[in-house]
Amino acid sequence: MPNAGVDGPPRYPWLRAIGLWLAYAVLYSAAHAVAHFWAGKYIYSLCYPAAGVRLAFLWRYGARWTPAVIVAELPIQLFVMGVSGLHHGGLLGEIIALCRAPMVTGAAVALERWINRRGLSDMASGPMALGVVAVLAPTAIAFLTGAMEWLRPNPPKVSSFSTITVFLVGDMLGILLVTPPLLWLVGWLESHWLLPRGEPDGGSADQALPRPGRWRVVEAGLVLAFGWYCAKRLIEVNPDLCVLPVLLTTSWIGLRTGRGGAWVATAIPSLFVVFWSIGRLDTSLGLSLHMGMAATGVSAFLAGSFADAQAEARAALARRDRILYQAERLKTLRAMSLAVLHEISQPLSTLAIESRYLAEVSGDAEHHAAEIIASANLIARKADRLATMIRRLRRFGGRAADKPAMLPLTHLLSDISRMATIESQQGEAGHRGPGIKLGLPNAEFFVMGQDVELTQALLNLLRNALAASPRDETVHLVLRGDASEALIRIVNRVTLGSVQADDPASQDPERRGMGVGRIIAQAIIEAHGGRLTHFRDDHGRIVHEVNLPLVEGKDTQ
Amino acid sequence: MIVPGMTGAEPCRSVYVVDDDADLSESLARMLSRKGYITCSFTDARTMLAHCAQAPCECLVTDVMMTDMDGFQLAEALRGIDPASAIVFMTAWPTASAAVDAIRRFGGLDYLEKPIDQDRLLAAIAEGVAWSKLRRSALQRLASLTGRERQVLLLLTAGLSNKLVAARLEVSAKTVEDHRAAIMGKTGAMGLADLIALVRDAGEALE
Repeated sequence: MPNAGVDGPPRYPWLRAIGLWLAYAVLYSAAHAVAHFWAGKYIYSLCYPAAGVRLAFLWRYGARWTPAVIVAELPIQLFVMGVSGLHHGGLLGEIIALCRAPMVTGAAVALERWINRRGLSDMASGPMALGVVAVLAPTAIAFLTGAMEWLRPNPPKVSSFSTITVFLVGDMLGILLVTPPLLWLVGWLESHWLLPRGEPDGGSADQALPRPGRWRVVEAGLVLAFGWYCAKRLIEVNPDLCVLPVLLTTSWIGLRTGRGGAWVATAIPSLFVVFWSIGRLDTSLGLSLHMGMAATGVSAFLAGSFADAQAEARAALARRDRILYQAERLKTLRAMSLAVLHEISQPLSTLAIESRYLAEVSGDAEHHAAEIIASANLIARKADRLATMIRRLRRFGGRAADKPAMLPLTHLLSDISRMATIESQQGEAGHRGPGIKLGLPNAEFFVMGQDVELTQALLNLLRNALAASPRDETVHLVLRGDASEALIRIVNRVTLGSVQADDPASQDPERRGMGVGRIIAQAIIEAHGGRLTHFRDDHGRIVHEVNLPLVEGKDTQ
Repeated sequence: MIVPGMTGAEPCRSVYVVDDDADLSESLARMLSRKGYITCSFTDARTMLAHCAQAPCECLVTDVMMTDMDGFQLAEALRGIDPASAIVFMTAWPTASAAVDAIRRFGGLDYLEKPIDQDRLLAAIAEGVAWSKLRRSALQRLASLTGRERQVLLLLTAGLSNKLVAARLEVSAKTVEDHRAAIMGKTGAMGLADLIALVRDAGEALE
C-alpha cells in the first residue's frame, strides 16, 4: 500500500479506502459462498462466517464504514450469489432486508464506542467490549429479522421464532469463529507494517493477547479432553445434555487462559464439528448442534474476555502503584533536599561572621593571633561540613542514593523529626500543628538500608501521626534497641474522627489521606527485613512500632 | 517575675544568644561582645531561663527550631519572668506563618533568616536594647504604685475624666484626685502626657 502512513497520514487516503473496501468485498464474498455448505430447508446457512468478517471490519475501521459495507454486500447478495428466495416484497423489500444486518452491526459498534467514550459502562471498554458486541449484534439482528418477518402481510413459510433462532445461531457461530482470529491477524499485519493502521478509535485488534504459561496450556488441554470425553459419554445416556460438559470446560479454559485460549478451545472442535456435519445431518439436528457450539463459544469467549479484562486491571493497578511509589519517593527526596538546604544556612552563618571578623582584624594580626587561629579553625570546620552537605544533596536522586548503606538511626530520626515539624507548621498563623518529642538513646544504632527509602517510610508514619493528632498534643518518637534489633515507636493521641472544631486544617478531607503512605511504609520496612505493627495502648493512644535488624557500626557519639 | 533592680544585677547592654548549634551561638556571642555588648551563649533554652531568672538580659537572640523547647516556647516563658527583655528570632526554616507568629503573638522585635544578615541583626539588637531600657525604666517608675493607683492610672491615660473614673471605680472624685496626686509623685510625671508616655512604654506588662 503506497505511503502507508508510517510517519504520518497516508498521502493517498482514497486509495487506501478503496483498497480496504475491495478487500472487504472479496473476503465477504468468499465467506458468504462458504456459508452455503450449511444451508437447510428455508435456511441459507446455519453457520455464517460472513457475519464474522463484517463485524471484524466494522470493529477495526469504525462504524462509519457501514454504508460502504452495505454497498459491498448488496451486489454480492443480490446478483452474484443470488438470494435463497426467503425474502418477498420486491427488490426494495429485499434491499431493505439485506441492509438490516450491516446496519445493526454498525449501530452496535457505534453504540459501544459512544458508551466507551463517555465511560458509562465497564462492559464497553477493554477486552469485554468485543465479547459483548459479538453477542449483542447478532442477537439484535436476529430479533429484528424475526420481528420484521412477523409483521409481513404474507406470512412466511417458517415461524418467526425459527427465523430468529437460525439467524442468531448462524451469525453468532460465524462471528465467534471468524472475528477474533481475523482481528488478531489484522493486528499482527499492522504491527509489522503490512497493513495500514486502523482508525484511532478502532477496536482492540492490535492489543497483545496475554500468553498463558506452559502449565496453564497443559491444564487447558487436559480439561478440554475431559470435557469432550464427558460429552461423548453423555451422548449415549442423554444427548440433550451432551453440550453441557464442553460448555463448562471451555468456560473454565477461558477464565484461566483468556480470549486466545477460549477461542482455541472452542473454535477447533467447533470447526471440526461444523465441517463434519455438512450433508450428514438434517436441519433440526444441525441447528441443535450449531446452537450448542454457539452457546459454548459465547460462554467461553465472554469468560476469556473477563479474564483478560481482569489481567489488564491488575496490570493497571501495578502501574498505578509504581507511579504512586515514585511520587512518594520524589516527595521524600524533596523534603530531604529542603532539609539539607536549610541546614546549610547554619554553617554559612558561622562562616559569614568569622570571615568578616578575620577581614576586620587582618590588618592587626599581631594582636589578634589567637583569635585569628581560632576563627580560621572554625571556618575550616564549617567549610568541611558544608562540603559534606553539598555532597549529600548531590547524591539525592542519583544511583548512589539507592545503594544500601550503614545508616545511623539517631541522625535519621532527628532529620525526620525536623522535616515533619516544618511540614506540620506550614499551616495558617495560630493553627500550627502538634509538636514532636524525640526520645533518643545516647548510643548510636546502625541499620543497613537505603537512606531515601527508610526516610520515606518513617516520615510517612510520622506525618500520619501528626495528621491524626490533636493540635495541642505531642507526638512521641522514641528509639530503643538491644543487641540485635532497633525499635522505633511513634505514639500519638487521636480524637474521634480527628476533626477539631477550632482547627480548620483538620476538617479538610484532603488532609486525612487514603492510606497510601502507610502501605508504602510497610512495604519498605519489610523490604529492609523489619516489621511494622500498630495497636492502641492502655491510655488510648495509637502506637506504631517499627522493628529493624541492627548491624555492627562505629559509634559516632 | 523580676522587678527591675531587685537583685542588684542591673543589666547593661546584655545580650543572650540561644542556639542548639554551639559553634553558631558562640560565634554570635563573640561577635556581639566585640561590638560592646555583654554576651552569654547557651545551647538550650532551659539553661538560659534558669540563668535569666538570676541575671536578666536586655535582648535575647534565639533560634526558633530547637529540640527540647523551641524559640516561641522560650519567648513565652521569658515573658513570664522578665517582660522587659527584647526578643529577636532567627531561623534556618523561615515560614510566613512563623514570621507572623513571632511578631504578633510572641512579641518579637525581628525575625531573621539564616544565614544571618549581620548588619540587620546588629540593628535589631540595638533597637531591642533601647526598647528594653525604656520599658525597664517605665516599669521601675511604676513599681511602687498600688493596685488601685494602677487602675486609676490606666483609666486616666485612657482619656476618662476624674468624675468618670470615680464613677467607674465607684469611689468619690476626691479619692480619684488623691490617687492622681500620689501617682504623679511616685512616678515623677509632670502631667497627663507624661503619664500616657509612661503607660505606653510599660506596655502590656503594666496590666
